[in-house]
Amino acid sequence: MRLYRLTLATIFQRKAWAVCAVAVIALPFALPLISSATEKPLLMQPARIQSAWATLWISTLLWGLFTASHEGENNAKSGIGEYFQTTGVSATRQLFELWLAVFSFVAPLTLITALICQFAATPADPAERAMWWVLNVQYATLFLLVIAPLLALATALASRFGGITGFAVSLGLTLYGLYGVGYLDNMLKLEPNPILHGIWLFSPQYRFADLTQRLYFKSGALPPDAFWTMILYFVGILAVYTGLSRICFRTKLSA
Amino acid sequence: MEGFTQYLPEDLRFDPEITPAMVFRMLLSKTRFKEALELSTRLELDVKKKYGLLSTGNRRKTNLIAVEFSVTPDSGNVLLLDEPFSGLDAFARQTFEEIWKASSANVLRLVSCHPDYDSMEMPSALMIESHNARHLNGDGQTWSQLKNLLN
Repeated sequence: MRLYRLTLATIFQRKAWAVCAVAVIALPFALPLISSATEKPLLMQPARIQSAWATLWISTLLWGLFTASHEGENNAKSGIGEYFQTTGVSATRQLFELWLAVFSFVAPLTLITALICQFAATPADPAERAMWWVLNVQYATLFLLVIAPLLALATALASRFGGITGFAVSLGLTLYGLYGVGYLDNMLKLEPNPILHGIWLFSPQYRFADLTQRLYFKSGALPPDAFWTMILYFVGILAVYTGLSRICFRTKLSA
Repeated sequence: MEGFTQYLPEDLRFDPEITPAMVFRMLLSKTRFKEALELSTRLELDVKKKYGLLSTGNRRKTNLIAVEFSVTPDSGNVLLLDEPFSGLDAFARQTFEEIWKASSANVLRLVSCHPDYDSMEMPSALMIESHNARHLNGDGQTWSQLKNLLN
């Protein structure tokens, strides 16, 4: 795991992760203080939930995908990928170690957000409170399942097409999955179109993994059947992206 | 047959923000890390300075130390080095040559480099010309003599 350790140290040394960590820890407490929640204390907890998960999404999409792209591009351009390949570390293994290094920073940020939601925004009602930790675990799991393959895709695309492409494509894909498919869905309800419907069917429906509204309105945990169906769906996307990432990934620039 | 191969490209560079000490810590075992730091001190390499701020020679030293101390002592090693001495001072070259001699029993090094001066001794050389390969050896053989054969 020498490449993993080297990449982990590099990301650590760059210190941008600290900005994300501070934002994820501080903003859920600071942002509600400058919102309308100050006039209506009842809104303080929902505001905290919203700012906590929004900060995590923004941090991961901007810093996480950028870092993954940067490391993928750097590995191919700097000769490090070529060096590790000669030592017997295959391209698949390199992709895994690079991905794991970035994921090692994203996972704790997710855990911190879930813990803030769990302990700093717990509902007062005992019945709601019982479901609270289940919903938090479900959200954190789905979030990581969505982000993990996107980090690998960003790394792989950047290693072949450059950092800007890796970052822009993975970010665009995530935003499309979170918001674009919803707009497309609304459009199709107003005016059916078989081509757009086909595109919509094969689009990644990341919006299902965003459970912020469910926490916000205290709608309770997802039913087990629905949760496992979603897990299966996102595992399927993970499998597709893993395959694509491996095909795209390269350890050195072509001559 | 067990062994460990490494190829050090001439243009290999680590992240500019990382220090040589961190590179060694991440790539080497604990004992080899200490030895790498000792050699760095001897070669006057500032291991706490960011890699991006190091001179070409000091970057080369960092790369060479990382690779040389990554060899596995218990098995055979093949080390492919592309222009390992470019930008290095004479003392550093001599130090690495001593390391090479000391570990020649289990490390085969294939070095690609440009000869420095005409009187440089080359007691054993493989000359590839057109489709012919010839092994030329002799105690007093120099780069100048080999160069004349190529012209």
